[in-house]
Parts: sequence; structure tokens; C-alpha cells
Amino acid sequence: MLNTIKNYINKTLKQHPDFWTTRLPWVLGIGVLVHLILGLIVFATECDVRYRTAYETWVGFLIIIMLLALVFYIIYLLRFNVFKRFGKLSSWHYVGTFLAFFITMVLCISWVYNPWLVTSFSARAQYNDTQIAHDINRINVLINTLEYDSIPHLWTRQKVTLAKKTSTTTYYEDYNYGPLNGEMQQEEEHYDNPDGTVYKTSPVAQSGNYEGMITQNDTLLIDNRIARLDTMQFNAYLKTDSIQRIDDSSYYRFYVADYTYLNSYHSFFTNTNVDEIEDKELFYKTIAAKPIIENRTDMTTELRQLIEKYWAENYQRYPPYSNYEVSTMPYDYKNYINRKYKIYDLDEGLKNISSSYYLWRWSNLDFLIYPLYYFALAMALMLFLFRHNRKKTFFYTLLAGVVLFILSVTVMAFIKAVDVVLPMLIFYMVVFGVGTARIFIANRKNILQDISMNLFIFFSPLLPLLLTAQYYEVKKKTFAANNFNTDFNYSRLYAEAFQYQDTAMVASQILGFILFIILLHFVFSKILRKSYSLPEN
Amino acid sequence: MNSGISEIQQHILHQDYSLALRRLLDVSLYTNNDTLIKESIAISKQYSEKCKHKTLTAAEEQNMLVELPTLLAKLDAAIPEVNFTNEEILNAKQVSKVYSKGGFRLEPLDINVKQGEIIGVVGENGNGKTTLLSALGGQLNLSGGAIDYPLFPQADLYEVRSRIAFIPQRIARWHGYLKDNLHFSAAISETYGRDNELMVEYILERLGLNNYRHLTWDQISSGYRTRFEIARILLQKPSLLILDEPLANLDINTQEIILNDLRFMAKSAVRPFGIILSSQQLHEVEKVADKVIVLRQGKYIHSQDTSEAGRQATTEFVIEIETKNTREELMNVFEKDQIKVAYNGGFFQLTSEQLTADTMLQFILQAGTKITYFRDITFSTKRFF
Repeated sequence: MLNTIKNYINKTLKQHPDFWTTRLPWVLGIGVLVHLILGLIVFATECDVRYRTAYETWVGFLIIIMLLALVFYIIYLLRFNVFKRFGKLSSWHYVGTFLAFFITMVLCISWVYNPWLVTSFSARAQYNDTQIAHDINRINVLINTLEYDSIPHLWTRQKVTLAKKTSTTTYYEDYNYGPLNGEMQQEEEHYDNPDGTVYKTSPVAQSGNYEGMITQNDTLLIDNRIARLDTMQFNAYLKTDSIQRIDDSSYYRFYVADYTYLNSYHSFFTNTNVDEIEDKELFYKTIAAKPIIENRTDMTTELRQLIEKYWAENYQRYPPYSNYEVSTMPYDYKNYINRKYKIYDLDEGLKNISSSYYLWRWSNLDFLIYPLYYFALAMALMLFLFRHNRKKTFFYTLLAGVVLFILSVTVMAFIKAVDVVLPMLIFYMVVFGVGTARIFIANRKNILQDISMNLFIFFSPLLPLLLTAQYYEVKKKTFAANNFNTDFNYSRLYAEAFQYQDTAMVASQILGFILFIILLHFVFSKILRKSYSLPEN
Repeated sequence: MNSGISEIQQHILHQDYSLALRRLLDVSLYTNNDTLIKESIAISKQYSEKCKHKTLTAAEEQNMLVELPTLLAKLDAAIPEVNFTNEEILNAKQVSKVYSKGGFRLEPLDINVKQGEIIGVVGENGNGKTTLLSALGGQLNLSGGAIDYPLFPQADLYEVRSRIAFIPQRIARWHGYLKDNLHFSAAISETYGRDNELMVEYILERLGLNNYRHLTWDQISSGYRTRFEIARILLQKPSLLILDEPLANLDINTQEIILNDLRFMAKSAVRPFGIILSSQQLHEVEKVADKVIVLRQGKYIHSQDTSEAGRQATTEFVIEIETKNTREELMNVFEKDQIKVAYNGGFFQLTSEQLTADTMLQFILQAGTKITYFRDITFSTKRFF
């Protein structure tokens, strides 16, 4: 393989010298090789996903390796500074060189994601989330069926006393909370506990939070057996058969026993179309009427196979069985079930499978993409600028960037204003843009115009994002000024007004990259070309 | 018969095989025929390989070059009729440079360079040679005057600088294998694939660098670094080659070889290019330069035309001698003649408007004056130092 790469590189040296200087073939070859070897190692060491995988350790280790590789690669390219020669440049030289650097960076940085993805694909190769959801339901049904005689069959109950309303105060409408009838309550409400304690609720909406997120207080204090009748939640309970009225201010709330033994599997149900069979359904399915067991052995075997399929066996997890005695206390059946069917092992196994299985999913894409994209973009741009600048100019640009950052942060801290960040960045871009444009008419080198050019090019992929973010900042301020405290539909109006914000932010970042490539090809290439060839003073 | 071929035959006749093979390589390039170029490289390589290990006898040399006549015949038949062109490459008018710090000033001067022409720039250290060369090479912003490049009028600054190769006094370090650097240089000048391989092979052989191709910068001497730099630049097919003190790191033999090679290549019938070079080695520069410019404290003080016409226009004769005799004794030799004797601490400089250099030497020898060094500097810029 090394010989093949070597031959290919020799060929590119004589055919595509610009491409050759990026060392892309080497990085591609080595990068893919590292991915393959790493993938195999991770797959071999982390193949049993029922047990806790060490992908975090791998990721940490690989971050160090990746950083070392990048430093090595950059030093290697810095050494080849000598290849910054005048010569014939193809029309795609600038875009091609940038993309080559970008690909090399993406490849090196992607090593960090390798254990992550390999672990996830390993879990997906061995298990199927829909099947797991079905199996979890089946395990619960089988346990309840087989252990019918060992588990409680009656519902338990709690007495719930309604609090008395003494006064009202302002609170605002939200999606989860509202009055049952009539107009919106305007005053703060106080409730007296039967023992004489006064419970005071806070307003359900907090002022000043124009983001639209409304913090709601807990208004159904079941544990204290106090509830507010006017909560939608309690009203919902009233419609179920788990609430029985005693008098105007007291209710019994009935609870079914806990018939679901596996607790860490919810992710499987949220990611599949399979519904979780909950306690109440299990009660009606397996407890309400005594199940008829035609072949206990078959059921036991099926249950054992299912448990063995998922458990992460660990004998240390349980105290010795010899000390165990089946308790007659009402809820101790759980201990019995847990021990007998090693539910903790099963729980652990499912939890581990779940965490490995869902390391990769489409909803995590932004989490994977953003660090990869921005780190690779920044590094590729730095390399690209280094390649097309004199060494001195490049390092002055780095210095200027750092100084400008420190200065900006100091100014922001001094005037205590964080919301000037975006306008400040846009202002910088305008200044850099003007400095860059000067190169078109310049007849000699100037360090300031070169620094402006480098910083403008470096930040240009972010320009659409900055403008979009600033647009929404202004819009939010205008919206808050026009609507806040005056409209009870604030949240709904807010959601409507800003429904496209997330899409616009993503689109602006994609647009930023495309715009950069277009500018690079048609504008930056000319500026870089001229700047590089301008005579010194 | 082509004049290049007859020159080679002359060299063979006088058993100057090394020189003959260098010229063979130059001539092979005129044919633009890959096979003939490869054959020429092969013969030259074979010769160099054998010579590397031992000194060959005349018979061995003849045996080795037995195929040479056949190749020369093929080359002679393949060389096309080419009219040598000498278009103007650079035309600088009243170029001047003033530095904001240090107070140095390059006074306005005119200079133009044509294809195949070699301009020498001489002067003591700190007199503006590098400034002038940098300005002509587009590296330094001018304080006054203008430079035109008539050969590529539409070219932008980048292209101009791509076509003007500048070899600085201190050559920038190379990384990687020297051969790779040469392939790279050829490739960025649009010499791709097999042509690239052939041209690198050619230049390595032409400049005697074959044995060093797989070495790195640290593994070669400063003289070879200069040679490699020249090789690299030549592969970029420059229209104008500017060399700032190229001879500084070379031994006396190599200086002559390199300068003669450059002269021959610059005056190539196929792809001529101009050369501007600065040096302290006046004698060597004058031997190859068509014109020599003398700078003193940033001022242009003399332009020496070394052509026959320039020689005809001379009005005084100057010689330089080294002797143990005193100034008075020397003056006595020429007592009847108008002659100026100057002593610079090392040499006597004798100037006469009537006596030619030969006559002056004759008088000195007849007077029994013992001289250890003599040089006619009538046509040399040495007179100004």
C-alpha cells in the first residue's frame, strides 16, 4: 500500500504540483489506514456492547493523537514553505488547495469520531431497537405471568386533599397550565394546608424571559397530598379511574403496583414505533385475571433466553443469595424479582446497549458535524493562508488576531455589554473588507492590508451567519418591545415569529461555506495573487 | 553543419570530452526530440559514471564515446533552422530607490536587457547592487522611474515575477529530496509527466548534479546548493534570470564552468533568456557579460561595453601589475611618455593615452622589471576600483 501511495505521489508531483504540496495523498492514505486499524481495534475490544464500553477513553486518547498528528502535519507543511514559488497556477488552484487542506483536516479530526461510530455500528449490527422494545415488553409480561403468585395484585391508594384558595395573583398562560373555567387568574394564589401551613405558589411565568420558555412551578404536590383542583394535570387525573372522590376537598388516588421491572430502556421506545406496556396495562393483561400457563417450561426458557440476550452479568452486583429471604413486606416482591431474574444485570446490559446503540443517530448529527466542521474549517483556512502568504505576514496576522481578540474582550468587559459581540464582529469585517479592497489599487506591500486580507478571508465563511444572527437579535429586541407584558399569547406569537430561525442559522452556515468557495475562486484568488507578488518597500 | 555540432567536434578533436558532452546536451535540446535528448543524456551519464571512479586514458575515453559521431550526425539532421531572436525583455527607465531608514539611495539609472544578453553589475559591497537587482526583479518597490516588460506586456505582477527568476545571495533552504524539488519546479512551469522526468534528468546531467539527486539540503555543500538553485530556476524556463552574487560560494573552476554554461544556455537558439548578475569577481563576470555596469554609492558610474564596437571606442589604455619595484623605478621606465601610475596598496595601475597595453608591457620587460602579475584592464571595470 505504501508503495502504491508513493508511486501515486510521485505521479502527482510531476502532474499536479499544487495538489502534491498539500500532501493530501499521504494524509488520505494514512488517514484511512488509521481509521481501518482503529476501527478494527475498537470493534474487537468493544464488541460486547452489553457491557460498558470505553469509547470515551478512546475518544480522549484520540484527541491527543489527532492533535499530535495535526501538529506534525502542519510542521511538515511549514517546512515545505519553500514551495511557495511563483509559477503557473491553474484556475482551480486556490479552491483546490483549500479543499485539499479541508479534506485532510476533516480526515484527521474524524479519527476522534471513529470509536464513537464503530461502537454504535457494532451495537446496531448485533441488536435492533424495535426488537429490543418488543423483548422488554415480553420480559415484563413473562415475569408477571410466571410470578403471578409472588407479586401484589391490589392497588394502593393515597388520600389527596385539595388546597383552599385564599387569594389570587398574576400568572400567565402557558401550554401546560391554565384555569379550568372563565378568565385568566390575575392575582397570586395562596393555599392553606389542612395543618394550617400556608403554601404560596410563585407566578407560573417569569418576567424578563423573552425567549418564550416559561418556568412552571410544581402545582400538584402529591407527596404532601395537596393538590390544586384548577390544575389541568389534576383535572386529567379526575377523568381516570385512578381517582375516587371522597368529598369536595378530598380524593383518593389509586396506584397500581410496579409491574415493569426494567427501568433503563426508555430510549428504545422513544426511537421506535413500539409502545411501552405500562404498569396499568400489565395489570389488566397479566394480573386482573389470573393468566393461564399452558407450558411453564417453554415460557421459562423463553424468558431465560431473553434475559441472557441482554444481561451484563456481574455477580458482584447482588449480595449472596444465602442471606436472602423472601420478604412479606408489600413492596419487597421487587427485590425477589430483581434477584431471581437478575434484573439489575439486565437493566445494566440494556442501558449499555442503549448508550452504544444511540451514539450515532440523525438527531445527534449537529453535535457531530459542528465541532468537526468548524475545527477543520479553521485549521484548513490557516494552512491555506499560510500557503499563500509570506511567513512574516502570516505570523503577524496570527498575532493581530490574538491582540484584537484580547482588546475586544477587554472593551466588552469594560463597558459590560455582551450584546455588542455581533455588531463588533460585523464592524471588524467591514474594516477588514476595506483593507482587503485596498490591495486592488496597491502598488506595494503593506502589512496592515495583508493582515486585513487574511482576517477577512478567515472569517468570510461566517459572514452570512453573523448577519443572520444579528438580524434575529434585532428582531428579538423589537418583538420583545412590542409584545412582552401586553399579550398573553406571547409564547405562541414568539414561536410563530421565530419559526424559521433554526433553519436560517443552519442555512446561513451552509451558505457561508458556498459563498466562501465562490469568493475564493472569483475574488480572493485575485487578491491573494496580487498581494503575494506586490513588491516590498 | 550546425555551428553547435562543429564546436562539439572541435572539442572532441582536442579531447575536451567533458566540454564536448556539455555542449552535446545543449545542442540536443535544440532538436526538441525526446529520443535524441535521452541518448545524449545516456552518453553523458555513461562518461560521468566512468570518470567518477578513475581517470580515463585517451583510448578509454575514445572507446566510450564511440557512439558519439553517430549521435552528432543524427542531431545535425534533426536541428531545425532557428533564427536567433533577441527581443527586449526588460526596459527600466530612471529607476531609483530611496530607503526610509539607513539613508541609502540608488540614483536613477536606465537599463535594458534583451534575450540572450548578459548584464553584469559590479561594485563594492553596500553600493546598491542587490537593491538594483531586487528592483529589476519586481521584488522592491521603486521610488522613481518605471520598468516595462515588452516581452510580456499583458502579464500581471504575479506572471511577471513568475517569468523573472531571482536567485538571491542567500539561497532559501530547501526541504525534502533535491530531485523532488526539481520535479516540482518543472511542474509549476507546466512541464508535466514524462516531459518533467526528461527535463529533470537533463538538467541534473547538464549541471553535473546526478550524484546528488537523492540527497537533501543538509547533505550538500554550499557550492552545490547554488548549482541546484540554478538548476531549479532553469527548469522554470525564465525569460530573465537575475543572480545576486551567484559566484560567492563557488570555487574558481566551478565559477568559470557555471558562467560559461549560463552564457551558452542564455544564448540558446531555442529558448534564449536574459541574465543580470552581480558579482565581486570582476574578471569572471567580464568574461561572459555583454555589458557591465559599475555602481558606486548607489550611483551608476560606468557602463562597459565589451563588444568589438565598444573596444574600438576606447581612448585610453590601462594595465595592472604587481612588482617589487618602487613607483619611481616604474616611472623611470616610461620617463618620455605620458603615463599615470597609481598604486592601490597591492597593484600598480598604469594608464596611458598613447601606449597600448602590449607596448606598456614590452617597456616594462625591456627595462628588466620583474613582475609577478600583469593584467590588461583597459576594457575592464577594474579600472574603477
